[in-house]
Amino acid sequence: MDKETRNIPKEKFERVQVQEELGEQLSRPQLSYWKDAFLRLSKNTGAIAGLIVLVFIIIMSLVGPIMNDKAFDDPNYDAAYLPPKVSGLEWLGLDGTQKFQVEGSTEEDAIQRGLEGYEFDEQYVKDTEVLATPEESANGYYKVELEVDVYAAKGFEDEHFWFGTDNMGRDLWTRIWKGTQISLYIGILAALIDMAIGVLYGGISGYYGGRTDSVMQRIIEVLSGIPNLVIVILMILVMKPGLMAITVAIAITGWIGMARIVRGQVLKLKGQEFILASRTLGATDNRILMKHLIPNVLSIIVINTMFTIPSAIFFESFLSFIGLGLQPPHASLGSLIESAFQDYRVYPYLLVFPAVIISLLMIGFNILADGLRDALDPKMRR
Amino acid sequence: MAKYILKRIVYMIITLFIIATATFFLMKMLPGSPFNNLGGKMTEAQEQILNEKYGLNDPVAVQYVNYIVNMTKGDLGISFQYNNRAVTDIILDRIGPSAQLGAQALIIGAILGIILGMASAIKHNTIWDYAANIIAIIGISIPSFVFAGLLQYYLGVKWGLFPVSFWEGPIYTVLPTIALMIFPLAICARFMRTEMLEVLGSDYIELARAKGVTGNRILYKHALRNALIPVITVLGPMTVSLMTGTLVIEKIFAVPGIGEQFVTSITTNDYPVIMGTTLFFSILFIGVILIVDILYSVIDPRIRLTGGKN
Amino acid sequence: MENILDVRNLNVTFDTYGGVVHAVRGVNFSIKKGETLAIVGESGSGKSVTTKAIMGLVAKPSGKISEGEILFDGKDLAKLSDKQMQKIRGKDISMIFQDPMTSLNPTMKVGKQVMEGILLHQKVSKQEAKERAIELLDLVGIPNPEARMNQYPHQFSGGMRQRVVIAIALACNPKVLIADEPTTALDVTIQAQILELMKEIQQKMDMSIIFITHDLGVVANVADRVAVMYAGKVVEMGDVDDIFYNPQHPYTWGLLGSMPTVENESEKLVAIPGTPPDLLHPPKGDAFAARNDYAMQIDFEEQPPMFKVSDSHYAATWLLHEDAPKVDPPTVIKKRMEKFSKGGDRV
Repeated sequence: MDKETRNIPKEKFERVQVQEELGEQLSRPQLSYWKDAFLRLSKNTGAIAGLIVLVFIIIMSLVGPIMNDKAFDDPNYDAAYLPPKVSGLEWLGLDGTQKFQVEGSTEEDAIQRGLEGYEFDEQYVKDTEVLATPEESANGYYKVELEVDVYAAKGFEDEHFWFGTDNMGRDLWTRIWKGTQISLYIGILAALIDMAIGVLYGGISGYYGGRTDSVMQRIIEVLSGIPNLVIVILMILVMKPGLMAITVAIAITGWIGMARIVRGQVLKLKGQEFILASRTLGATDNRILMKHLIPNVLSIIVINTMFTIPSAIFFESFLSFIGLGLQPPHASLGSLIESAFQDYRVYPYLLVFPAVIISLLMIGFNILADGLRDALDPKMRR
Repeated sequence: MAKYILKRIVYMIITLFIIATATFFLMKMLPGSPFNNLGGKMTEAQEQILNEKYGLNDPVAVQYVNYIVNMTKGDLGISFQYNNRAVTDIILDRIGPSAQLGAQALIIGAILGIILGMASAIKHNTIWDYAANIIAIIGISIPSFVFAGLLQYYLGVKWGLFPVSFWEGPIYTVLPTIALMIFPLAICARFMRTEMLEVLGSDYIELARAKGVTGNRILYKHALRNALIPVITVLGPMTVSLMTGTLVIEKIFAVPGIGEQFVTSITTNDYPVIMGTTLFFSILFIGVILIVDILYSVIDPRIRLTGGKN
Repeated sequence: MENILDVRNLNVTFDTYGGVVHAVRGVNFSIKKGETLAIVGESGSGKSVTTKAIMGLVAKPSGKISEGEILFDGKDLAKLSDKQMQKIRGKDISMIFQDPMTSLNPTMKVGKQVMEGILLHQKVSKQEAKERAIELLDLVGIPNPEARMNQYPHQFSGGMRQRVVIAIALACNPKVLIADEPTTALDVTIQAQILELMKEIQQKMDMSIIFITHDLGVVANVADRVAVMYAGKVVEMGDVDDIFYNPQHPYTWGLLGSMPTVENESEKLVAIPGTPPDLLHPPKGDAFAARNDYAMQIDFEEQPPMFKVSDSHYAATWLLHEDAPKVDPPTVIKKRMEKFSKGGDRV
């Protein structure tokens, strides 16, 4: 025995009573499942960033259209192709000027052709720059860039179109946020319909099992062999293209994944002891379903629904893009991008604004869904 | 094994039959006459002649039986729009560019994705991992037509690095291939990362380490094979993405492929071409799913056993 | 006899999001040639981490050996580089894992997995390695080894797989074999077979075994010496008879008391109340104090040193201090002690 331990005062060796609970108290505080999940989600920087972006876009889609007094379906052909202009943000390039590239045999010729072609008066040209002399350019012409104050040239000096205007002179700002509204509406509605059908189908199939299950599974097996794309396009062709048609078409194909997941989970849970215990205690089918199965399946339903929303938004924009989506004058982000393709080479802002917003929307939903999955997945729980 | 494959093929035929039937009846319900877009006004008599010629006056049941019977012979009918050309010919004519584009995007995308996913798992929780994750989430999120538009504008129009559209040589395939491959790349990367992380954390990798196997050998001899096998299963979703992708990408880059044809046919009510292409896409998809399942059972020794001992 | 492996003041820590976890806190033990040392303790006591540290397999970068030495063959394994460690792993020290169902590579033929270690560590041809692998499979009792070489792990039963894992571990005649709960995942009858096999091989090859388990029945069966671990520390260490018939630490009492035996079947089993401490914030004094019915004031203030009971027997409890009051161990334990003094049967 070493010397140090000899010097310990005797009273230290008094017996003490250990409280029963003390051993338990020392372990970490217990958290409820949802609280724990929420904590984990809030630590996920990416997911929180995604959530913030989403909240911002959702608020803007509601507030944006009423922030100015312009209507989304009010064409004014005189105001066509006005570039973005925001007072106070001129230094960002949002000053209502637009650069046009023109070609000609001499510098003057090029400028002249540009003015005629785009129908501008010379006084509105703020700046010209020779991009290439005949020696440098591929086709032996002068290539000149004209910077034109389009608002002044078209007589709209006092107007401010924040995102510019489209080929019919409609305010892009209003149209984009209206379109965002529609994209969100379709995404969420389709996801909810998917959820309802999928949970019901998967729940019944998994819970009752046996013959019911095998018949329902054979049906799913056949249906899942059909590519979504094909069903959606056929459905849209038959129904009149529009909001309802798109939503129905997307919902009709999307529930299969949800049904499969819910069935698998229910099957797994059904065999576990706590369900058996509850059954031996005389619980009814309904009670088992409501009190035991649903709460335990809830997390994967939430996760799966969160992934359905962006895929529905994508499908809507995809359909609009190939001309099967919303019909004018209504706009969704997809149809705005589609119409931008006609002349974005001269007016890139037509493409850039809706493209950025749909990308942010999709990324936001996907990151948030990823974060939710990590937070809710019981397998990850420690 | 043989029994399993046979069962799968029976399912495949049932599915195809359902698709063909559904397509046929849905097309019958479509509004608009197929001859509206032929240009010039048509007299009633002319239209009657055309209807007679295409068998559109027969009872629907007869048309349906004819359609199914012809289909089994590989005859998908005659296009209303393209001077009586057979739909099968049109599809075969246009399959080249689509197949090339799809194959390039699939192969390059998958290889890059697998490398990215592996690197990300090996460098788990480092800046490389985060960067790869960001690339993957962007690739999964941004719709291919948005990506294609931005590529076309910046790399094509603004900086003039690649041709903006048309299909006239290898250089013309660059932009559409990049636009189309971003999704396969992203899903491969994510899937590979998850699989690789799981494998690297497994007991048999630990045992290999305990044997004294070196780091690189563990990666290539033990981890890679086990992580790669499940990646085959993403081939299914990848095919779907390639199909949706070809529709928009071919339209944007003016590639003379099946997708571009399909979009045009939708706007011109060219029923036989729409039905034919739909069936073609379905066969492609179902075929890929079947191949994936068979391939999986051939490659993975564990499944080989459950498939039947012989 | 000389110690083949000497672990001195080993400390292993893990960086986690919550902070630094002290998984192993100053562990000392040694093992002689041909000897079997059992490390016992409940899950999370640090026994597996200790052996991973010996193998150099502590998960990097979060985990590291923060202090201490692992002396083997005149080298300090704790200071070796990864490359140097690779030459020792599988050759001089090898390991058997808990779950045979997951510890073999599912897509590699069994023969190749056995040959891999041989080819890595010995300068032999492929043919020789193959012959050696067949020999090994035969040694661990796998019938028809030539044919089995070309099969995949899923074609083996659990017990057979564990035999393969043992064959892999034995491939290069290791001096030390670490067995991390090698029988926990197996059926009871298979357990006995595997234990017999290990004992038999140990005698044939004269190697030392570190046997990790929480099953005291297995300990009594295989071990020469026993180290009891709690909360990252060795709390009692001694010959197998010392631990079973003259235990000194209240935690060992608890462990023994909670084990049913033929004799004590009429007695009530003693359960240890509470749960082990959180090693993210290890308690200041004796880690077991909070669950200890015999706790004293000092237990909450200072960690007990290892008190010597006999030349082979040490225990870290303040109860052995000369100022400590005499306490009565639980009845089950007292009965054991009495039996020992009378020289009765084991267990």
